[in-house]
Amino acid sequence: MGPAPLIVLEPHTDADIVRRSLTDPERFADLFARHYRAVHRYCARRLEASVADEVAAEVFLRAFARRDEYDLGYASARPWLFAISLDLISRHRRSERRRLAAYARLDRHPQPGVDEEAVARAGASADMPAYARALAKLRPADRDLVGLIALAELSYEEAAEVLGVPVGTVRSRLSRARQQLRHHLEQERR
Amino acid sequence: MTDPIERLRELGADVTTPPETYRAAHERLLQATSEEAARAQGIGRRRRAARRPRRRSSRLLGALVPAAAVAIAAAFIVLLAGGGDRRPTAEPVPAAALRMADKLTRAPDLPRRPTGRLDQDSAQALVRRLEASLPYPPGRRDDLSSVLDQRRAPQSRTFYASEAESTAQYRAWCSWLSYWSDRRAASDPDNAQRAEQVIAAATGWPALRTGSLARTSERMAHATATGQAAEVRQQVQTNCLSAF
Repeated sequence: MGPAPLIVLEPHTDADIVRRSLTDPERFADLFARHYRAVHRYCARRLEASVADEVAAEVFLRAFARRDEYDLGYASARPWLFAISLDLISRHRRSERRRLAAYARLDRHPQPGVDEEAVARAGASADMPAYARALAKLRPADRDLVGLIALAELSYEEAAEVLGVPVGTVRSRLSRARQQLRHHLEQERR
Repeated sequence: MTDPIERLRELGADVTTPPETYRAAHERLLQATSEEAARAQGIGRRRRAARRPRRRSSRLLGALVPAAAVAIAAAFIVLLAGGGDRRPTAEPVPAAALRMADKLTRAPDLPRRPTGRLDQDSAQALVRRLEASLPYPPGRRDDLSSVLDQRRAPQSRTFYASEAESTAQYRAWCSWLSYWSDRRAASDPDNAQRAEQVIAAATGWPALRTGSLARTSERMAHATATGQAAEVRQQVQTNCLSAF
């Protein structure tokens, strides 16, 4: 018989990490390690690269500064982090519009090297410019929701937590946004 | 037509995070966390220095003497009345709980880094020691071994003694907040007052005297001292229930 198994008391949930970071601030880096890439990827899909880098970093600095406000009843910090992301992104609507415009121009005026690598990669898809133009026509609030579901890959429940609305509202708003996107895309193809 | 949401998901799937972006953001966060850690340590030392045992002991002693006098007087009245009043009363907070709460304020700081890698037998021994060294309200005990069981690793992982101490103290503190709320709601001012004394002492416990928890524990001590039941209840519901 081998040695007795060791017991782990490492953080299992994000809430554990946040709670422990209250007495040991450096533990907050564990939350960064878990979620930075997802947050950055989301920001990078919505904002210009330089702004996205800044916003993604700011999300964690702000989360750290306000971690004592985190509701430890929520095991996952993803909704909290994306709520902070949305708030910060809302201050950069101009950058978001420029980002969408850059995507939208790719099929009409291909500009390799002008925009960032991510735009060029995404723009390689023939669909992207039309989608960018369709997205730009959505209300910012609907664009936020579509982004949370399609780009951040949050569940409906998580998106509801981020936006502070019931899940049913997320479903109905998303359904409406989906219809509008379809409508705008069909117009693009005519 | 393809679901546009699904298509958008596919279109954005290949966005990656450059390593230099990750590193830069990581360094910014680490700088913030280490600055706060340094501040917290400094604050912790100052807070402890300002809160010498004599002052707390005298405060507790000051509370215990009248409490003992009240208890003796109550017993005397009961004797005089021939034990006629047999209404069920809540078990009083024992003086030992107040002493334990006070003793914890003199415990050394918890290490900032996890220490004390233990095997299962040693971990269980540690749990027993922690449960015996922490004050709990009457009728309430914590089952820390269940915490460890929840986190049992399938492979050879590590159990950190320092984290168990921090968790155990936090949970004990939560149990006092909950008890204070209950006793206050039950119009049991004596026990509520003793719980208040434990909660005041808890601001000096190693897990609660540094960092942001220091602010929260101070806030709760103030809330119990000033009878802000709603604030304490909110703390219990929001941040304590998840600890159990």
